[in-house]
Amino acid sequence: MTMGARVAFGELRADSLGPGLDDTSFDVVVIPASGTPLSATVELTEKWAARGWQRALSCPTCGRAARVLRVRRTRLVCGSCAPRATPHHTLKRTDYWRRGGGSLVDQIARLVGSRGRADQRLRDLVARLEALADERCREALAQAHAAIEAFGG
Amino acid sequence: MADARPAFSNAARIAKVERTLLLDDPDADADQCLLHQAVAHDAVLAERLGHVQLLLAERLVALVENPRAASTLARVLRELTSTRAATTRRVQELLLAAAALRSHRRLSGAGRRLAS
Repeated sequence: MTMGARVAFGELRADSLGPGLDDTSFDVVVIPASGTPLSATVELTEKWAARGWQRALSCPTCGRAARVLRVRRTRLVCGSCAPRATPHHTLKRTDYWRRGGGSLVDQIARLVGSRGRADQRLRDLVARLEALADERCREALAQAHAAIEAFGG
Repeated sequence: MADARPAFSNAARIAKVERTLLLDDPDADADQCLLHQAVAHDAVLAERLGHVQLLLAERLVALVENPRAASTLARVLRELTSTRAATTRRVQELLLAAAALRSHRRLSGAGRRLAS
């Protein structure tokens, strides 16, 4: 890294580079919101954007033109290399969604708003939710009581 | 624990919670009653899980010097905490759905009254 390295906070954006960047590459230090700052040499390239070619950053990982580069572990990556998880994606990876009946609750919430009165489908969903909740609680409580008894409860 | 099943047939407690929910919304229709039923069921489960969670945490604190016991208890406590968190979140989401439905019904009822 040279003395004239640029500093970017959070992520490196092509539109925040400003004028006076005539080289084909530049040094940058990216300081992410969490994690270790990363220094890298980023090449400039161009990307078609509706009315013409615009300056873009060449992704050090895949080589494609990107407007934004983010720090992922020890590398700079573009959105294609490491898609950002939306809150919806994050929710679907939680224990609540996978094992805790979250998907059933979601189905119930969508169903109750769409009709005038309870029908068999809603009753079935609620029954399935209660059965799932019972099953999981039974397992957790059985383990807990076994552990308490085993260690002198 | 010999058999955990009887512990789940706490119908009286579930019915009490359900009645309390209905006090807030005496005009609840069938959809809302079903939601209240599910909320009451999960709320009672969360109470039970919370009670056992406390017992387990007390054992863990008492046996923290014993690595084997502490590790086993911590693992079980983690699973129990995760189960309780999921149960509590279900209660929140179901109550939210019930509240949204109630607001929707009230708004549409008010609209009809204004129109007539």
